[in-house]
Parts: sequence; structure tokens; C-alpha cells
Amino acid sequence: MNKDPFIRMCGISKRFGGIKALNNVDLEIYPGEVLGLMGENGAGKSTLMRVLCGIQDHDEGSIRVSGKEVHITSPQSAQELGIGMIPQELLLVESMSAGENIFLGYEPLRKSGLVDKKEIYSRSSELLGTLGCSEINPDMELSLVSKADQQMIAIARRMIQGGKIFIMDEPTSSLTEQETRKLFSVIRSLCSEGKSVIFISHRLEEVLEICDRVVILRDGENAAVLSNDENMSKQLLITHMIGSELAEEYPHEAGAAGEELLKIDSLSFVTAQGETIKNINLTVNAREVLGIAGLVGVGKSELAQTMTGIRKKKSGTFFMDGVEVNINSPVRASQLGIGYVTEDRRGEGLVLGLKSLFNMTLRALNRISSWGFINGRKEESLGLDYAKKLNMKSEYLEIDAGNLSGGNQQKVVVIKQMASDSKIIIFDEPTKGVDVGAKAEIARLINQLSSEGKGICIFSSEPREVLGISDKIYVLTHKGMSGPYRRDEIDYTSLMEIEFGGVE
Amino acid sequence: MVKLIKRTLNRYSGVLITLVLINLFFSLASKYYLTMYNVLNILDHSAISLVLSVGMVFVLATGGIDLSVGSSLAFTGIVAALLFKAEIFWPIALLIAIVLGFGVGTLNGFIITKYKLQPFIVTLAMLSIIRGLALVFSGGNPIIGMPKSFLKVFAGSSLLGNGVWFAVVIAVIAAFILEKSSFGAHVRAIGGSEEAAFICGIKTRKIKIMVYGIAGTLAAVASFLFMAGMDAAEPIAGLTTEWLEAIAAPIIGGNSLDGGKAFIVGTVIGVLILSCIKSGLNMIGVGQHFQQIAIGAVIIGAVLIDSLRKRG
Amino acid sequence: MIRTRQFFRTSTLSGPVVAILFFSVLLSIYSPHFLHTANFINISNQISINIILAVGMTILITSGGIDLSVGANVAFTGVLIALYFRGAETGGNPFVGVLIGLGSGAFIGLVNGLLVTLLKAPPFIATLGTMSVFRGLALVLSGGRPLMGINETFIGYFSGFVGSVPLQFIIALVIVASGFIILNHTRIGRYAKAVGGNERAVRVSGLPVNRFKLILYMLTGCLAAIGGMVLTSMMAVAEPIAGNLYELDAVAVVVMGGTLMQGGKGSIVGTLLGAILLGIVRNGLNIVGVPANYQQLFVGLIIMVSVIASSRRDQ
Repeated sequence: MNKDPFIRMCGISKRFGGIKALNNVDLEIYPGEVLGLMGENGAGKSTLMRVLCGIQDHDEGSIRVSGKEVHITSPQSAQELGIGMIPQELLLVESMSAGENIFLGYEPLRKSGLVDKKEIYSRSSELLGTLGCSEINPDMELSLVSKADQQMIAIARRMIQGGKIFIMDEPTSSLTEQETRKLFSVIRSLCSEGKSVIFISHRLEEVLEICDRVVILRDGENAAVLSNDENMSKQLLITHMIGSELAEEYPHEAGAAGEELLKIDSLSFVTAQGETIKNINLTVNAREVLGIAGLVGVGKSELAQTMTGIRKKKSGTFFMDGVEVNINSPVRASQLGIGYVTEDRRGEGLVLGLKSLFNMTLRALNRISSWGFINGRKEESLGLDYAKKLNMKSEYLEIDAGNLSGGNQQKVVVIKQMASDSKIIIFDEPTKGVDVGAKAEIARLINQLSSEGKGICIFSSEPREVLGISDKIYVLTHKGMSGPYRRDEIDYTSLMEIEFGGVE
Repeated sequence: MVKLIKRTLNRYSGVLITLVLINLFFSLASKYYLTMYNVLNILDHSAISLVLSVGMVFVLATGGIDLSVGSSLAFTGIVAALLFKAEIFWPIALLIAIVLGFGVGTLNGFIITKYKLQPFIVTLAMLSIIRGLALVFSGGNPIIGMPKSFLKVFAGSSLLGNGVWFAVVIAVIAAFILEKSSFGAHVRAIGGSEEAAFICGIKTRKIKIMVYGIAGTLAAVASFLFMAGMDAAEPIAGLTTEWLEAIAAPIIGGNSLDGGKAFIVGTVIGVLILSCIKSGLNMIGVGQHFQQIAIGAVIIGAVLIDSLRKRG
Repeated sequence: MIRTRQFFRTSTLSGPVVAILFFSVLLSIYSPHFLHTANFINISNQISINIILAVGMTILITSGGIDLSVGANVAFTGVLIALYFRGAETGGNPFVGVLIGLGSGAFIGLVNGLLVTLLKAPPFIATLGTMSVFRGLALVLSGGRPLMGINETFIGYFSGFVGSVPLQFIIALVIVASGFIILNHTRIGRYAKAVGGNERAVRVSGLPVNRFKLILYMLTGCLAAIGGMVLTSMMAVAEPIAGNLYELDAVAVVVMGGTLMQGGKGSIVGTLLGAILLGIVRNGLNIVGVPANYQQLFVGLIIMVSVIASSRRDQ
């Protein structure tokens, strides 16, 4: 590639509160190429793309298009430059028809100035036909369309918007093999017209197959730029994504598992993608860390939420101490002693405007109050005790939870569970968005909780985290759950193989 | 055409049946209810409510709400009447009133979008401000005696007032805009998913300001119908039930407080349901005080329907 | 000095404090009557009911709710009590009157709370509906006329003077103190802040959010009912149209006091200051001779300016 890049992003940095989401990141996109953008969760891929599309502003750095510096301040200005995104969450309007969604913002008008619906439907049909999904009726209301078809509609919408740069964030996550083939042929034909595609994916085979070059981000920084030549391999991608330091950062003391706390029998539930996952069986024991590994979007969060009463199960039974229980609400889960440390710390883990101490004691107010009045001294000493235990500075207790770093926020959420005496604590992506130092500390904390007799369940898409912390490992794929594997039965490579390949 | 009628009947079967049942009930309860005179009367009274409700449909479609339309009606009416009294050629007075209504509405939209405030609190404050202005400008008293030619245009001389025709024309135009224009599509898209509209390059802020402007403009038009009907402008017009009806009618007609829906036909039926209830209660001799309860109950009922619809 | 400066730069209370000082100085220069004890008694008399309603509103808005039915609640409660006293053989028992009043407030609050929790209705529209319903009920029950014959002992509970201080103002201050303790030192107050700050987080934590909301709406309803009892006692008559637009005044002083409309942060002291400020402004308008018609305009402007100011501070 000795041509000039079409887009050059230079030194892009972006902070969210105390966390550096992007730190001095560079990215170049050449005409007619498929650029793979890879990295673990929280590596900054989505943020970088949101910056490029004008959905997110950035603190530092410059963007040049065709050599000219530009200021992309809104999606409109990005689209005027020919840049547009197919976001992972699709962002379609449920209450409108498929055709209206495809032409949203680009409605063809008749001479009278009114929208030409006929044109919308005929061109939508045509376009969906070339995408190989002519069975989608453009007149159908979107809420009646399947997730996979919605993905194709979002792609069709992006094609109508035109321009030079097509950003696709995990486009294949809800597609079948056959649909993925069709998408790839569309990508190839786009490139042959001199357009460029940025392809964000966790699926290594797909990246190897379709991409000309791969940019890898790690912890918000550039980790590598690789061209897809004979030296390229899955292993190389993985090495760059996870960096050099492997499992060592997770200290672990194995102990004997205690009594059974929670047993799940042939549970089935529906994922956010609308897939039903059946026949989940697992047991949570005291003094044991259970790891549930799986790729992003495979339904781990949904399973965690089903176990804590936030989502409704489809069928199946829960047993606690051998007795059947009905976990139908978070309140019920909490009464049964099941605590939940959410993946979305800021959205549903913390009350950001409330100081840390108050977040910690939110579920334990009955312990520190009488007649409804809170005993301020008891509250403070409770908070201080836990903060000390978790190596958290005492002055943090008085700071609003929203102003803490990711690691400290996670500690606050964990303390909330500890203070309310949960018997089982379910962690969804426990180290998402926290820096390396805090990761080790959270791992240590999880071990500590387990040695105190709690049953721990970790849902994570970081394989080394699961491998590092857990005593027993299950792997969730869209075909179902496999395992359990003892910690010494499974290693990084075999775990990856199961995750990417489905149940053996 | 047949398909369209079928679809309409299908979509609105619930509200249509409600409308029929209400009429059935009241015509059995009072022999004066289903008379030509009363039916025309009901239509006449629906006109103002319909014009306000149509404006509200635009706002609701984006997921917003405007509590100030009743006050806008009073304020623009008072201003127009004062201009009449100042011997200004009445169409120009009306034009000024319309500009004023549009201005109040866009100011609502501007404040809501600029400061990212909840629509209800901004329009609640605006309700108070312009109601206050209406009281100040009028000295708290109605302004009586409208120009003859104005009355001729807006009230008409036949039994069925011209206001009904104005309202129908406005509803048709609104339905056209919402269904057929790109602006309408963008309005519905914002209510369906503001983020989706935003990433498709739609100027969400501008459109949100516009819908409040439309609501304000239509409040001014409603004030003309009000003045023509009463031969007076009232600073306390639209205070008791009109603004509540303007919210209730669209929701009864299938629009949602969450936005994304824009059903004008449903709104027309919603307005008729409310007018029939009001007239019917009058006919069976239930006092005005009961009507206040009825309106409140209808609002709560509308919210109940909205919540049931959401659960599917 | 530095602390003072910091206070003025960051505290939400600085706005109302400065405005109160400003208007007080202005008015005392304009009119010798302003700085009179009689005028202060007058002001404290006028703002008492607003304070009582606004304390409940502060806690509710902090939790992310709102209650537009408090004005109708005032009227409905008054009418209900008057009907009891008129119907009772011996002029009625004042205690029973108080119980009926509190029961009426709790009931309206319960209805509001159920609409908001069970129907998941936006609070403002649900309470707009109940506002209309209970105002209508007050009119129907009273026949649209003011009702006299309120028990004298009952009137003595809620109005009159202690020394030269109006009893209703003392009641208002007691309620302010209780409101402060509830919001800052009790579990329900803590839950109110948490629900207003991030309802989803509280739900996911396994706490019964709906129960908290019900309690908060009932608390607000009871406080509004106390406002109704005070008004009925002050007037010695129950008016079905009493308390019209009281909800606007209450919301106005809450936002003036720095409580965030979107919930999560609330200040009872701020609300008290806001009520004092509004009282002084109203008093000043009277002294200066501005017609009553301007009052609604000013209340609206105050709400608008306060919410805009709070949004800017928040950013």
C-alpha cells in the first residue's frame, strides 16, 4: 500500500471521567481495503469508531480526510465526508417499516416534495435482493423482523447512505454462515469500487479471511498494525490482542469446594439476539469460583441476569440447598442471598451522584439503622472496614461514585454485595474497563470472597481471566453450554477452540 | 383504497367500538343526545380540541409533550383581540398571533433541546408564563366583540361552524405531512429511536424545535376558532380541560407518550370520544364538576391504555 | 473568606441566598414597611402552606417523581374534613378530623403511587389526571360552594399565634426539620436519593423500588393534606377551589432551591430558602403595587430560569 491514505486519524485521545478510553491512537484507512479492527473488550475499538463517525467527540488528536484536516462534529458532517457506521446495536427504528429504516434520512422525494414510498419499496427490495435476503418484505414493520434480518437492513441502510468508508461493528454476530458469505461478497464488491470497509470482529477466521490489514488496540492504545500476508496467523492476532503478560497477573489459591449452594437444572433462556439457549445445567458451590467463558454477545449477560431474576427464564428449575426456588425478581434473588455485580457499572451498578459510602451500604441499611433512622457512625465504620479489607483509600468513601476510577468503582459494587451478606455473588465481566493493576486486585478479591465461603460465579469474555481465577470452567456458545472443565483440564488454546468452534 | 380503509378499521377497531358504545349509552340515557342539533354541537366543540390535539401529535411523536398549548391558545387569542381593538386589519392580526404562537412553541423547543431539560417542566413553566402574560395583557377580563368579517370566515352562518372544516383540513394536512413527507418520517424516527435518527444524519434538534413550533402555531389557530365561537377572547381560555384533552385524545387514539407513533385518524376518534362524553354527561344532567372528574379519569384511562399497549 | 467564596461558587444554596439579600435590601430601600415585624409575620403567614407542600415535593422530585395533584389534595382534604364536622352530631372530634385529613392525603398519595408503579405512567401525567379527579371530587362533594362549620378546636390546632409567631409557620418549620431528617438521615430518604439517581441500579440491587415509591407518594400526599388542614383552619372555611396552582408554586421553590428536576439530589434547606425568596418577591410585588395578574407570569419565569440554571450547573 503505497497510495496515500484516505483517512488518517492521528494521536486520538478520549477520557471518560477518570478512565482513558483512547490514548494517542493512530489509524489509517486506504482506498479499497478491508481493515480489520481488533482488540479485547474495552480496548477502545468502538470509541475510536464513534469518534470517526462524529457520534463521540475526542479530547486530542486530528483527523485528515484525503490529506485535509477535518472536524467531524456530528454524524451529518461524517456522512458528508462519506463516513458512516453500522453500529453493533444496529440502531433501527422499531416502529417504522424495513424500507423506511433503510432510507431514513435519505428519503427519495417525488416532484411534489413528498416521500416516494413506491421508490423506497422497490429500491429496498432490489438492494435486499443483492444482499441475498429478498425474503425480507420492505413493507413489514421492523419489530416483526428477525435480528439477523435487521442486521441486513442496517447494512442496506448504510449502503443507501453511500460514501467511501463503511464501518461494520460485529456485523456477523447474529448472521448464519450462509448470510456471512453473502455479506463478504458485498464487502468485496464495495472494495472493488474503491470503497473501504472497517471490519470490527472477534471472529478470528473471518478477520483472516476478509481483511487486508489488521489494526489491533489494547487498553486504549495502538498495539499493532499487521498486514494479512503469509506471516499472519490466529496466534499472532491473539498475542497482540492480549499482550505479553499472561495468567500470572491472577494469583490463585485453590481450596476444596464446599457444600452446594445453587443448582440450575435444564434452564433455557432467550438471548438479546433472540436466540434460545437450552439445557443449561450448573452447580455453584461454596468456596469455589465458577468461570463461565464465552464470546461477546453469546448470551452470558443474559444468563447472569436470568440467575439473578432480572430476566425471565423460559424454562428450567433452580434449587438452593436442595429446595426448589423461584427466582423471578431481583428482590427475590436478593432475599435468597444471590448478589449480582453487573457488567454495566455506570448504568446499573452504581448511583453515580451518590457518594461511595452510600453506594456501599445501599443494600445493608437494615444493619445500620433502627426505626428507619440511619446510624451515621455505624455506617461509616462499616464502610471503612470493607474499604480497608479491599485496599481502598478511606477518603474515597466521601467521593461521589461517578468520580472514581473503574477499579475503585468495581470495589464499591463488590462491597455493596459483601455488606449485604450475599451467599452467592455473580460477576458479569468483573474487570471490564479497569486498568491492569486493579484487575489483579479484583482477582485477588474474588479469591478472598471464595475462601470466606461464598459461592462465586464469573461470566467473562476474557479467556485468561476465566482461566486465571476459576476453579471450574464452563464455556457458553450459541449452541449451548459445555463443561465443566477443571482448571487443570483446559488451557488457553483449548478454551479458545471451544469458544470459536462451538460444543465439541 | 379498500385496503386502506380495511387497515384503518383494523387499527382503530378498539377506539371505534368505544365511540359507538358511548354514543349508544348516551342516546339511550337521553332522548336529546342523538338529535341533529346536538350532533352538530358535538362536532363544533370538537374542532378546537382537534386542532390542539393535532399539534400535540407532532410533539408526542418525537417523545415529547407540551403542557402549554392551552395557555398559548389564551395568549394568542388575547393578542389577536387586542389587535382587532386597535383597528388593525384582522388577517394581519391573525398572522401576528400565528407568528407569536409559533414563537412560543419554538422557544419551548429551544430551551428543551439547548439545556437538555424534560419537556414537561419547561412547558409547565411556559404554561404559567404565557397564562400570566394573557392575564396581564387583558387585565384579566375577556375581550368581547370580534370583527364581523372575521366571524363570517371562522364561525360561518350555517348550523355547522366553519371551525369544523378548518379543523378537518388541518388534520388532513397534518396526516399528510406525518405519513408522506420526509419531515414526518424524521419526526417519527426521533420518537422511535433518537439515536438511530441521529446516526442517520437527521438534524434531531432542529426537528424537535419545529414540532413544538407546530404545536404553538396550531394553538394560535385554535384560539381563532375559540374566539369565533365565543365572539370573545378569554385570558382563562383553555385553562380547565382543553389542554388536558389535547394530551388525552392523541393517546386514546393510539399515540404513545414514548413517541414513535403519529396517528391522526386515531386522534380524531379520540377527540370525538372526549366530546361525546362531555356532551353526554351534560345531557343526562350531570354537572360541570363531574366533567372535571371525567376528564381526569380519561387521562388516567389513556395512560392505562398506553401502558397496556406497551405490554402488548 | 476562601470558604465563603467557595460556597458562592459551588453551592446550590448561594443563588437563593444572594437573591433574598438582594430583594430585601432593594425593598427596604423602596418601602419603610418592608422591614416591619408585621410585614414579616405577613410573609411567614403567606409562605407556610407553600413550604409544607414543597417539603414533600422536594423529597419526591429527589426520587425522580413529581406530584401535580397537591393543590387538588389541599382542596379535597379540606372539603372532606368540613363535611365530617358538619355531619357530626356534636360538632365532631378534632382528632378524628386530623385523622380524616391525613387519611385523605395518604389515599391520594396511594392512588398516585399505584398509577406510577403499576402502570409505569410518567409521574407528571398520572398526577395531572388525579389532580383533575380530586379537584372534581372536591367540587362535587361540596356542591361547588365553600363549606363553613369547621370545629373551633381543630382550627386551633393549625392556626393562630404562639407569641407573635403564626402557628402555621411553626408547623411549616417543624415539617422542614422533619423533611431534612427524612431526606438525610433515614432509610427512605437514602432510597429516594438512590432511586432518583439511578433507578435501574437500585432495582438490580434487589431492592423493592415500587414500595419506596408508594411510601414517597403517600408521604407527599400526607404533607399536602396537612397543608390543606392549615389552609382550612386559617380560613375557617373549606373551599373546593382552594389550592389552585399551589403545585406550581411548590415546584417553583423546589427548583429554586437547587433540587435537580431529574432526581438524585435534593435540598430541603434550599427549598425553604426558595419559599422565602418567592414570599419576599410576592410581598415586594404587592408593596410596589404590581397587579396580581403578574404573579403567575413571575412564578413561571422563576421556574424557567431556575431549571435552566440548574441544568447549566449540572453540566
